[in-house]
Amino acid sequence: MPARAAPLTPWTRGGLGLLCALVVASLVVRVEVSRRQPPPGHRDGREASDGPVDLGMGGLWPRAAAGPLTMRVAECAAPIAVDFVQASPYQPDPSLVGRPGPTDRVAYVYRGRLLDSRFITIRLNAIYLARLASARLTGERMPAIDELAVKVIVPAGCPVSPETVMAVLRTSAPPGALMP
Amino acid sequence: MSAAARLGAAGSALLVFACGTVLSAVAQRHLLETAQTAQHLVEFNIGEAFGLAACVSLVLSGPRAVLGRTDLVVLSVSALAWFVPEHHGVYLATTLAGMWFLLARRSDRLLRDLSHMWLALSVYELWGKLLFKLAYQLIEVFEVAVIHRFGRLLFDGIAVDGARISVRGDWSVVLLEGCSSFHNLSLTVLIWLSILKIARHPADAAAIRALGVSACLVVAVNVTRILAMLPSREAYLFWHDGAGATVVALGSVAAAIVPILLRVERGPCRLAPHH
Repeated sequence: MPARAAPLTPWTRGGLGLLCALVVASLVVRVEVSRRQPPPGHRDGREASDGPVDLGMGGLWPRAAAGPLTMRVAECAAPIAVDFVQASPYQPDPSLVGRPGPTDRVAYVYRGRLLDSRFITIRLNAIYLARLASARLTGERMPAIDELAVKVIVPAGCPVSPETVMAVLRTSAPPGALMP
Repeated sequence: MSAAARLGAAGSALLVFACGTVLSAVAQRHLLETAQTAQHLVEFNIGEAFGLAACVSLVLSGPRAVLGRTDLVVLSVSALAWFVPEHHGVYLATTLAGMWFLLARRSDRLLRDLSHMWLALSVYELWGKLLFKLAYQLIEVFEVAVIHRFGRLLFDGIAVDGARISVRGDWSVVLLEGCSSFHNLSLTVLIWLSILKIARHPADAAAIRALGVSACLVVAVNVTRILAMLPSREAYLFWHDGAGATVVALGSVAAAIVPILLRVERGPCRLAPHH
């Protein structure tokens, strides 16, 4: 049976031409960018950070003081626990940090964003990866590999909200002022 | 009839799309990204090579391609992902085009087969890695538990802490993406599918059994490699960055290829007429 003639419509030829042009452009752009940058291995921006922890709303906490804390408030019999957990992939599971009771309220604050404890590892990883993707697309500085989030454990029966805890934390001098 | 005339503009467009995606990812990786290991064989992306070979084979030896206007618009829009400045992200192109051909052109055998390859490449290069990073703490706890179970047969003092494994107090190994069986299993599926498409072999029960054998072998090779890294820093360097890494890479690829290759070579049994 004779072969059917190839449908060489202007659209098909135009599409083929456009794809060829895009291949060439993709390669040329990368070669040009690589010529203007230092060689690979010297520009990986994802490095450990010694910068402060972002508490949100302009609040910062010195990294050197980022250890477990307890906070006593008049409304609660038991102290509120505050900890700093690593918030990027390849780090230990933050849900295993601290020892909340089954009825305690647990919340996380990562770069000012308040998160409850459901699927917390996946959500922290997702925020980190979104920031990484954004930094790649915009050419901004990569997020550090050891970024910290704040974990707040409010004991059962304590009427204080995690937002209130964070407000206190933002206005406190670390770390002794919070220690009972 | 010349090869170009037989291929047609539509077939050429499909070839350019497949090659352009891989070329963009390779250029991004080698020109603008940091190498993961010093071993060239480990850095060579065998999955990408198999996926591209299958796409080229499908277009060159399959039925003549016919593309409509919408198909060409989808291919061209998808190709804009070649400019994503991250080598995994480049495979957003094959995700978009693969989804389109799978959903809109499933009656065309060539386009359906190509969509399978493009989606498998996308899962291996982009979505699988993203899922791994998102659910790292969940996946690795399971994988480390498996390694711990086998490791107890070899080491008395093996201990685990999250994704960290150790057999002595002053040395431990953390499982990341490249060392995870999760990553090797997605490579195994891609190689398996590529060989099936190149051989025009259906994914029947025997082929799926071959995939199961490959998966078990690949996990066994990987678990053995991780356990071999545990005794000392020297052992880690040998199996992670040295000649051991090359041996493991070859072993894993052989484990992925040989079972399905044997199945495809053996072919379907044919009944011979009795005289």
